[in-house]
Parts: sequence; structure tokens; C-alpha cells
Amino acid sequence: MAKEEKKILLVIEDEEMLLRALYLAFLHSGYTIATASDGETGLRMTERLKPNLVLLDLLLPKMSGFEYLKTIKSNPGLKSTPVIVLSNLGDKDDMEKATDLGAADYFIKANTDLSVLAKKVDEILKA
Amino acid sequence: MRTKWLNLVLLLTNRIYSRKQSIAGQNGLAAAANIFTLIVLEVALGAVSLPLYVALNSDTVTAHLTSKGAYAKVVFDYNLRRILTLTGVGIVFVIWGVKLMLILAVPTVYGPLQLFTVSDLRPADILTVDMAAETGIQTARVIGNMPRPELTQVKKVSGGDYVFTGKGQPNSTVVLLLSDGQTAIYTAQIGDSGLWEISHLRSNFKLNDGNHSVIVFSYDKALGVRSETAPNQYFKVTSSWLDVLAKNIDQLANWSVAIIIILGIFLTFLTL
Repeated sequence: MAKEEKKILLVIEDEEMLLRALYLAFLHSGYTIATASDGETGLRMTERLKPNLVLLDLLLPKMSGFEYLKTIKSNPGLKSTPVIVLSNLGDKDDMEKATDLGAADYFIKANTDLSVLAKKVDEILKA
Repeated sequence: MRTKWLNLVLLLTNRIYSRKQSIAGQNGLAAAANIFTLIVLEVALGAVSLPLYVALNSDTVTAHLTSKGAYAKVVFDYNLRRILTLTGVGIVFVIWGVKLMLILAVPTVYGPLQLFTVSDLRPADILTVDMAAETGIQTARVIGNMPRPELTQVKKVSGGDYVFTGKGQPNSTVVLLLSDGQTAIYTAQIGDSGLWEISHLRSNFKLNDGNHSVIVFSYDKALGVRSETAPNQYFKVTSSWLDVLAKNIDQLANWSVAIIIILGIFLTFLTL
């Protein structure tokens, strides 16, 4: 019987503190966690790892979250990758833009409870 | 519990982000207040997030999935701001911890001090509020065969007080003159046992490091006469390393806070 591969969660976040916190939050969830601290690296890792879910910050160095979203959603091999945006940008326009670009959900960091985020992640990954 | 802690990290990170955004368009007092708040938040975040740095190596946080094909490890650069904040917080905690320990565990016994004998008697500048006593003592005639007391020990006790003990003729009066820039006059009755004890409190005046003159003699106020002085007339005050540390810890603690604040302001501007 083939061993079931762990689902891959890719976290793209440039704030190191937050990245470590998110890593720790999902460490024992049973997923393989990959991390990137800028948009370009995040894109490279997405192309290579084909993650099952991406947690994406919008304000990223090298390539913004919006550009990343646009790029993967225009890639036939990656466009079905669910992306949850986790950002400080709380503007309605930004939320609509992210959703229009294909984000599965949008969390504003200031209002986010990690347990709620974890539930959403589980919901998508176990679907 | 872990989620609550991580939510706190998230909350502090967001608060810091919001503060930075609000500082950008401000100046004057409002900016200064925000910078101060930012520093407090950074210190709090530095302390709260310490386990994230201690418990998680960069290698662990960076995924290295060789089974999916080789790719360059994403290497984290430690955020300079956090490291310096943590170091600063650590230094402050250590200094204040030492201060607290000193407060809680002040040494109670400083022990007897070495006494010196000199042959000459230096006249002392006597300053005292008891003018009658001062006059009487100053003008008392020295009687050679009047039994003179002995000063046998000077002991420093906790709080920087000193206790002088000796012996002399029972039921007589002993006078002790203690000098350190100014002179204190103490009198005591010698008990039936022939022993006497006089305390000098730090609150009267602090004895600085170095040699101090202590003149002890018997005094008969009614007859207006006094004995010759006891042979031991000097003692040396020294500070232990604990005294020096206790003396300087306040300055060190104050400077450490100032340094952290200055560093925090500098780093805040650096990373805005």
C-alpha cells in the first residue's frame, strides 16, 4: 500500500517573526510546511513543489502578492492551487482585487485568530 | 495555549505595523509618542517571541524537500532589530535582576575593622547641636590618672551603620568623637559590666572610604574633667565589591534603560 503523502502548505511571508509563528502554528497539523520570504522565491517554490495550499502575504519584496497571484493563476499547471491571502491591507479594494485574481479567502492580519485560520486551512486541505 | 501565544505574537506584530504606518505622516509630539509606544511594543514582542528564535532553527523553518527535487535553501537573515531588542532587553533584565538580588540579600555582617594606634592627638573640629556638651567636653581638664576607656572594636553593620564597642570604668561616661569632614560627638554610660557600645548611623552622615579618626575618653561632667584618650584612634573604612556594585547598580540600571531607549529610537528609524 502506498504511503499517503503529506499535503504541502506553502507560506509566503516576509515578516520573519510572523513566518516563524505561522510555521509553529501549523507544525503539528500533519502537513509539510514550506516557507518563502519573498514573492519570487515563493513562485519558484510553487512551481517546484506544487503545494496543496498557499498562505500568501500581499506586501512582499521582489514580487508582490498580487503579482504572484496573477502569475500562478495564468499558469495552467498552477491555477488550481488554492491561495489564502493573509495581509495587513484591509482596504475593500485590495480584498476585491485579491479575490478577483483568484484568492480562495482573505484574512486581515490585525483581525485574524490563528485558530480560525487553521480551520480554514484544514477545510481546504482535507477537502 | 500555544495558539493564544501565537495570536499574541500576531497581535503585537500587527500593532507595530500599524504604529509604523501612523508615524510616517506625523511629526512633533505625536510622532514622539508613537515612537515611544513602538519601542515598548518592540521590547514586548522581543520578549514574547523569544521561543520562536530559541526553539526553531532557521533550517527547520526553511523547508528542504529533497524528495521534490533540489532547490536552494531559503536562508533567513535574522532580523537585526529583533536580535538587538532581545539583547537589550536581556541586558536590562540582568541588571535589574542583580539589583533585586542585592535588595533582597543585603549582607548583614560586615565584620570588625582594623584599628590603628597613633601617639599624637589631633585636635578635632567639633560640630554638634548640643552646645553645652560641646563646651564642657572641649574645656574639660585632662586628668592623667583618670581611668581611660578602651575602644576594642569597630563593626560595620547592614545599612552602613557602625557600632563601636569597648570597655571602661563601670558607671562612668564615655565620649566618642567621630570625624569625617564633620565630627559627631557621642556619649554613653558604661554599665556595671564595664562594657560600652555606641552606634553611628549612616543617616547622621555617611563614612567615606579611607581612614577615620575616632577619639574615645572618659568624661566627668560634674567635675569638668576627662581622661586621656584611648590608644586606638583610627579605623579604616573600605567598600566590599558588593558595596561598590550596590552603589553603582542604580547608575548602571538607569544608563541601561537610557541606552535601550536610544537604541530603540535609532533602530525604529532604521527600519521605518
